Amino acid sequence: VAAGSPAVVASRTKERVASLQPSRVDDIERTVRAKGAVPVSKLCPERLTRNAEARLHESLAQRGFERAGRFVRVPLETQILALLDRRPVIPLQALRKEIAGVVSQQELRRVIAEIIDSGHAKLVVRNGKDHLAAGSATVLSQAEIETLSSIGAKLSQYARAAKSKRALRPRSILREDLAEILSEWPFALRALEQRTPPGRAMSHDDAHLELIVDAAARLESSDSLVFVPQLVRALQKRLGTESILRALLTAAMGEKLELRPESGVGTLSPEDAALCPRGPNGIVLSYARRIRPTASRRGGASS
Amino acid sequence: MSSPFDREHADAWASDFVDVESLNARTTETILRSIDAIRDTSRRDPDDLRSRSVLVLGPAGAGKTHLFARLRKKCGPRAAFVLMRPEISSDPTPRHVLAACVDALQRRPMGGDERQLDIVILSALALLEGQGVKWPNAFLDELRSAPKDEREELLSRAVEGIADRYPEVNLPWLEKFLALPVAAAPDRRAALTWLSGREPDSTQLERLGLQEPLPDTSVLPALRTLAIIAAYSTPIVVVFDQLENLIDDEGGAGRIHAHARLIAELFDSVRGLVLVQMALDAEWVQRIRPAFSASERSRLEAHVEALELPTPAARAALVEAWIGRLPPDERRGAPWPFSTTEWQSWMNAPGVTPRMLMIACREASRRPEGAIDEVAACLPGSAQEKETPDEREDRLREIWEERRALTRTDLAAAQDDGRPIDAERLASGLGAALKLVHGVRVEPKRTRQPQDLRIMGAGRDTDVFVIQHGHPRSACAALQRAKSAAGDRAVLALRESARPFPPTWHRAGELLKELSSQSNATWSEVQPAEVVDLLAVHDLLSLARSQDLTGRDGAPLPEELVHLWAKSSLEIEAWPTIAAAISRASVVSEAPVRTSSPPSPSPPEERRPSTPPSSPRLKEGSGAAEKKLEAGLSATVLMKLRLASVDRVVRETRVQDPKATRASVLKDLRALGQRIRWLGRAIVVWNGGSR
Repeated sequence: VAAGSPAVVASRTKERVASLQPSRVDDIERTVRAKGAVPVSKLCPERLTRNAEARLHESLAQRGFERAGRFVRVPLETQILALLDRRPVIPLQALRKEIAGVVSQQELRRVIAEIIDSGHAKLVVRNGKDHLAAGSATVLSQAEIETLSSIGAKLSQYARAAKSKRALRPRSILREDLAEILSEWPFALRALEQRTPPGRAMSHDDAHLELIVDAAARLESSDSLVFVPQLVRALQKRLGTESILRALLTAAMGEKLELRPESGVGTLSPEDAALCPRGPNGIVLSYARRIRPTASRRGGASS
Repeated sequence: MSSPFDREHADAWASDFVDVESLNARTTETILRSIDAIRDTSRRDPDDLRSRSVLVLGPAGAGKTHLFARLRKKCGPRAAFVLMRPEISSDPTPRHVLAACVDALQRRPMGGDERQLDIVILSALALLEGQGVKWPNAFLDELRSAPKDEREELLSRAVEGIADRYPEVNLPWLEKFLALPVAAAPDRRAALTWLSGREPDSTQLERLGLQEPLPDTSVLPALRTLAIIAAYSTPIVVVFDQLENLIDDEGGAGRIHAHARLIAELFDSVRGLVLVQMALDAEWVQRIRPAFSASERSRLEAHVEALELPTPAARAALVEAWIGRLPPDERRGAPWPFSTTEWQSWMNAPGVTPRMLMIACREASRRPEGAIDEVAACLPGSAQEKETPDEREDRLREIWEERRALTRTDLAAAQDDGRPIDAERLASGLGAALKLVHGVRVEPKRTRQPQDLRIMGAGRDTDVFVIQHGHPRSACAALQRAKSAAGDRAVLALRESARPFPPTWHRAGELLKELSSQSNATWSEVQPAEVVDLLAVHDLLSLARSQDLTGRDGAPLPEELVHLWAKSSLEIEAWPTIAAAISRASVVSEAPVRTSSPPSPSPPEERRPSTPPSSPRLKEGSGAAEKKLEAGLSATVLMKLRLASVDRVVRETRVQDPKATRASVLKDLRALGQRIRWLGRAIVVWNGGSR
């Protein structure tokens, strides 16, 4: 029988599966989630009809995956943020190898730029190379970098002069002069404090609050909202639900987070509702928004 | 004068309202910057002119509609605001946007006397003539006093100038548009109908020297032209509000994609618009966003703004501003209307929206003097059911009457402007009402389908054609389409009774006769009162989805409760058009008790009632009498009420049987098992099902 004959076409058509069970879609979802990206051709061992294939892609899209080139993948932004969750500082050059399903370097650069612009990550220099750090990392401001640069220049000038061979005898530097130069550097001390050395104990509440705000920074989407049950689940292994809910309310009182009432029409499951703090009249607070310091400082600004 | 605490739902078109500027300042700033950027770019660098898109998300009561009113107030005549809300049974199209834009431009801006339309045109003309945009009125006087030839020369020079800068403009549309300020009133009305993409009647077309309404292929170019002209002085801000109404209860994403296509099309191919989308945050995140493709998301979520909830300082400012609106003799010193403890709680409670705070103020202000410290009901933490089911029913009835009154006003205004009701709006009203009829599914209009709605009942499907056309040719074409469809399935064709076919439309009359003679077809003329009801029920359901309906205690009325109330109280199945529609669709009107027997195989004509179906408030037929014997008097009372509080059932039962007690009524109700459904402990709903 020839390859294109009606008999062969009919048998091929028979092999195609017209619909996938939801459990199969769940399996595929797990695979994509675990691998980060899976080539479309390897998504499903069964051959699907066009309709079934379209439905599969639709339901994967509904579960938050995206199709890019020949891959179905976890959005690059999510992958990068998950990576930052595990390793707070990642060399930029190694990023492409760490995440799956990148179609082009330009695309990756665009996503990185978006993540940085949204405040979810920060671009830092370490050993002369670009690194991506978590959004919660404490970094120097531009003004502080300016000061650092000026201090560096002065130190370098002193050091060069001290090592000059043209002098009569080996030169040194007065300690008080060095102290004066370094006195321009109070932020250095602050930076050290903010690194939270292991010896310094934080109160439980402070630690929980910090964890909550950090997790919110990692999990927030492009609209700057975080689904509270997702945040609670992300931290549940480290803190108990009760502690998380208490810390959420503390963060709201301290104007670090804004807790927002549920506005869905029947979208919140009872399991998710149980992971949300309550507001006035028992209203469920199911979303959180990080309040950035600049936003709270603006306070009564008029438009 | 009503209390400032009573205005928990902002009026998008209000001119006098309380505004605390620090609230949502960032979002306001973002949109104002977008408007300014468009105006500047259109003047400085027309080649770079693009549309901008901002998505605003927030919970119910966070101030989305208030934001619209604030932006209108802040911009005054410097921007034109268009408010669009999704129709329940039709997909949004560029034609709807064009009509809404032209309608919006006919409003007078806040604090201005001239219509925005004139400002837009005159500013553009003045700018092109090198006179600057600041004095459009002076330019109008100059234009009106100029001889006709000179005027025409100026207009054609302007058309050429604009076409030079923006080759994509639609010249015939532009010519008619620029001539509006100097047109005589009847010419202006005719031109506006045509320019808005609606169908002018034959006299209007004759007056305009045209043969047909604006064709589909010209709608987007017309919109492009309008946006470009307006961008000079009055950029158009199209606000798509209540987008949660795009969500289909049956899980389809068709309407969401239709909206995404529309926004993407406007964003990509129309220059100079500010597109603002507003939705409930949870609905957007959980049910709308997942349906988008990456390319749709990049356009619809080009800039996302989450509305901020009031900080303690903003809460204090809000309360102070509301109190400032009270008559001087009613005002008290801080922390009135709260006690000190209550105020501390409200200041620091998380998740407080302006609406929640306003309702708490209202409750607190209405307490008797001296009761402040004893009453804990106004504390944020006290989750008490303050409103009884009877009060909720009364509240829903009150809201319904409010919606009807607003719709009547709206229709009267449209009639004054000579605008008929758009067919899509009428179809949406009908679709919304039909959604409340048991056993009916409604499929909205899809592109390339001739019908405006498809009703899918227990028997065969019915296609609905809304024949609101103003021109005999298009009315005939629609009647012809309805006639052809009647060959395959049941058809319901309808038109407002206030707009009958003129006697001169002979062909339309003949076609109507032919259509009516077909056994499958029904012709219905919708009475003005029913039009009001249809449009009001659409608004009611939209507001319920957006959680904008609140009880007297301020708690949002659940969508399900609103649906149940509407089903049981509005007697929708008895509305003549609905009755005609469901009899055509072979829907068995909701019976008091469902039987398990399959639907009768007899043809629908035999089952079609000659009179409108009975009201859902049940008449005691033989079946009902049997059930009464079986399940007791309370069951019969509930069957009549459909949805009621236990208290009410007890009360009604006692009217007929004074010996009945609460315990006996409860016992009877519990014995009904699955025939009833309990909403909490206090409300009970008749399901109509048998055990």
